Parts: sequence; C-alpha cells; structure tokens
Amino acid sequence: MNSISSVPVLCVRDLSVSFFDRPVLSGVELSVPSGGIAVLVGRSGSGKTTLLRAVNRLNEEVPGCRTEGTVKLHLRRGSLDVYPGTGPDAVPSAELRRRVGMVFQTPQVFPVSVFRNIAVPLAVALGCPRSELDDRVRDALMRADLWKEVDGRLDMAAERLSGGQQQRLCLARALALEPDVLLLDEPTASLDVHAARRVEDLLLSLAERLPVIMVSHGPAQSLRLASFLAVMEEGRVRRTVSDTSGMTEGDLERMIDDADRSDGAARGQGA
Amino acid sequence: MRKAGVFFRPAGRSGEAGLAFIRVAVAFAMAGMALLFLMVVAFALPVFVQGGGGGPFSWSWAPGRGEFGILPMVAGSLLAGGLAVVPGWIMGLCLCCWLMAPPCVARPGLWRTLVGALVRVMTAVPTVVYGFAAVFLLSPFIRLSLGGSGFSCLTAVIMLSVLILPTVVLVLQAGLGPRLEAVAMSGAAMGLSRMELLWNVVLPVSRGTLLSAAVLGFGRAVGDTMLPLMLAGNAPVMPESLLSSMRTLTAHMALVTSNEVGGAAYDSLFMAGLLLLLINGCVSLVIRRMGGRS
Repeated sequence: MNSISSVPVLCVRDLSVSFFDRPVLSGVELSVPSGGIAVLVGRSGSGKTTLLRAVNRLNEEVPGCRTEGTVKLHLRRGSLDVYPGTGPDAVPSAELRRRVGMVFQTPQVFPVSVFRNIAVPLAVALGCPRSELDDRVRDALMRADLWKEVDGRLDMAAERLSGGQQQRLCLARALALEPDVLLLDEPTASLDVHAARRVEDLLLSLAERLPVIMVSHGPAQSLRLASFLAVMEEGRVRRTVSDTSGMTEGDLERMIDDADRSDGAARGQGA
Repeated sequence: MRKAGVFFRPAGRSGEAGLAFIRVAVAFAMAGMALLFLMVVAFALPVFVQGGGGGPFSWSWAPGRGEFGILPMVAGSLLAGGLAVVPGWIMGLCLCCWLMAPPCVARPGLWRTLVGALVRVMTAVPTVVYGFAAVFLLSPFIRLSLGGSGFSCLTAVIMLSVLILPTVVLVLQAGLGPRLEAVAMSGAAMGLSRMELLWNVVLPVSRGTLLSAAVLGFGRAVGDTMLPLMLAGNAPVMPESLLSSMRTLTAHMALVTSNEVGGAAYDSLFMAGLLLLLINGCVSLVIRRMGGRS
C-alpha cells in the first residue's frame, strides 16, 4: 500500500453546494490523505461529481450555483484556499484550474489537431514559448502513454482517435500543464474494457508522483485503484476507508447499500 | 412517395390529408420560385439579344438619348455590398465574441443582456428608419467633416454595414455557440477563458460559419433598396471616390419603376433584376464551395 503522510492533500469542511436553491451537497466533511488514488464512490446523484468540481471551482461555470463551507488543498507547491477563497492562500480561478488538472467522463478533445489540443492550453494558459511547445507536447504524450500511437501523426484531427486514445489525450493535455493534483470524473465510463484497463494502469503509475482524486461507480475498479475510499450518499460523505486491503467487491457494494439505508450513523474508520 | 409516408407521418387520424397539404405547399413554393426566375429571364432575354450601342451592357444611362447602360449600377451594387460587408463582418464578429464570452458565464451581466436583446430588435427595424436617421444625422456630419454633398457612397456603405450587423451576429452566434459550449467545460477546467477558447479553438475550425455570415451579410447589403436610394445620391455613374454620388441596381430599379411603365428603360430593369439574382447566387455558390472544403 502507498505510504500516507500526515497532512491531507484535500481538506473539506462543512461544504454545501446548491443549484438554484436545490441542495446537492450538504455539510460534506472529508480529509483525503496524500499518496495514492482517492476514490469517491456512491450511487448516481449522490453528489460525487459536484464534490469533485468544487475542488477546482468548476461548479461556478454552471448558472445558479451557490457554495458554502471550506475547501483547502495542500499541494507540493504550497496550499491553496479554494473556498471561501478569501484567505492568504486564495488564488484566482484560472490559476487554481491550471494547478488542478481535470479529466471528464467522456473524452472532451478540442476539434483541432492532436498537437494543438495540447499546444493551445500550454501556449495560452501557461504562456509557454513557441520554441518549447514541440518538446512539451511530446513529453506530455509520452507520460500519457500515447506517443507511440500518434508519433508522426500529430497533425491528425483529435476526433479521429479512438475513445481510449482520446481519453489519454485529455490526460496528456491535463498533464502538460504540470498540475499539482489530478481530478478524474469516471474517466473510464465511456471506454471498453481494454481501453479502461490501459487508462487504469496509467493512473496507477501517475499516482506515484501526483495526488489523484477520482470518481468511480464501478466497485471492481474502485478496489483496483483506491488507496483511500469515500462513500457518498445524498450529498454527504457517509464513510471513508483508508485501508482497502482484503476488501472484496461485495464488501464495497454492502458499504454503498448501508450508506443508502443508514443516516450517516457509521463514520468511517479512516476519518 | 409511398416511402416518404412511412418516415414522415403527421400526427392524427388525418395523416394522409396533412401529407397532401405539405406536398401542395412545397409544390406551390417551388413553382413560385421557378416562375420568378422564368419571368425575369424571359423579360431580360430580348434586351440581351438586342445588344448594340445603348443596350444594358454599356456605361451610360441616358434614356433621353436612347442609352440604357446599367453597368454603373452593377458596379455601384458590388461596391456598396463589398465595402459594407468588411466593417459589418468585423464589427459583427467582435460583437458576437463579446456577447458569447462573459468573464463569468453564470452572470452574463446587464450590458451583455441588453446589447444581445438590442441586436435581435435591430433585425426587426425597417431599413427606412435607418435611412431616415442617417439623412438627418450621418449625412450632414459627412458633408461638414469630409465635404461633398453628404449623400455619397460612403454614407450608404456606413449605414449598410450597420444594417447587416445583426444578420452577421445572429449567423455567427448560431454557428459558433454550440461549438463553444462543447469545449467550454473542459477549457474552463484548464483555466482557459471563453474568449481564449473562441480565438484559439472555435474560430480556427469555423471557417464555414465565418464565410456564410459574410455571404449573408453581403447578400443583405446588395439586396437592400432603401438605404442606397436615400443616401447614395443616385447619380447613374461610376463613383469617382467614396465621397461622390452613386446608384445601386436596387435603387435604380426603384427609381425607374416609379417613373416608367413599358419602354426600353423599363425593359432594361429585367436585366438589372437578373444580374442582381446572379450576383447573389454566384457569391453564395462560390463561398459554399469554399466552406464545404474546410
């Protein structure tokens, strides 16, 4: 198992998020230890994605959003005050999102070439000089395990890649910006089994250098990847598990079902 | 025809009747279009065949001397349309980008909401209102600041570019909007603003939309009658400069029909109409080809 240091990478206190006064998260408490992959699990509509999007303030891109509580990130290049965003560690949203990489459920490549998919964010968001673009695009593609497949075809439209390749391109694009933490929202949900396994292996190797927080709805996948689990239900974190060794899919299923029934009575072993 | 009924069956028990009604309506519209073209060509043909000096393809319009050349008006129309579409398209593109890229999407702000509504209202303003305003405001301004009579090529071009602005903006919004929304979330997650996404990702892949906005703007500028009639001065000669008077095909047709019924001058109008149709048709075809390749 991965070593877990004392300072949590993500610290969420009493977080509530609502859209047009309809609460989606209410009073979320969560500490994600650094090291390994933290996985948020739960039924559809339990607020996993909203919690993930609170970490890079992406909920604010949706009309009618209201966020209360505190969210803090403790990263290798210092701490970031995400919410309420008024303290000394507060950062503008654009900078926060550059330092917090995100990959979505369905591959969201830009309708331009493979090269420009990575080069545009590099040049525009980071101000990377033109002379360095070639090297950094190649480096990102290598880290996302895509270089061998697209070498010599960088001018090809990104939309012509397969689903798994597109998702790895999205990962490469996020990695190119040198983020301090990676957020993944069910990154393998739209992929076939082989493509999904390939992305999973990639994530495990990335997690050795970078904190990864992901949403997953597959118990098998969650157990394969997670070194920390948070079970969500009805807009709350019901339970956390910081040692998944020996757990079976059945155990996790039961845990999710229990969270369904209980009213938050059971607080996790790791919290 | 039977097969079409399988795929498209209007709701209700009278499905067959509804289908017949749609067919009749389509046939009616197509027949109307065909008749329009046929009539214009049929009337223009004798004028075309007649040829010789004083025919429509000459540079002098002097009905008193039997000269019915409409080439100055063709040049006037092309000049007005071509010059108006440049500032109109640029202003429309900038306005469209500004409207679609507020700093915070959840709160577009009062100004953007107001300007967006104003652009939609502008499409409903009759051109005679623009013309009337320009006669009293723009025309004296040009006369006093730049000289000339104030009724000039420049005056008409400025107002035409304002006239086509909402057309350009709405076409661009309809084409660019969905493309921007498709990349907005993933772009925002990388710290890119909507304006940065528009310029770097959306616009480079939207050549077709950019071209069709220009074509529709050009078509509207060439086809408009009221503004050139009220503002361009209407001298049936090639304009020597932006400040000199000129006449467009549309204004020419309006002026001649109000004075004549029948005769050579009247007949030459059909040639003018045919040319107007051809200009718009050609530009539309050429640019559709170019757009289709992107």
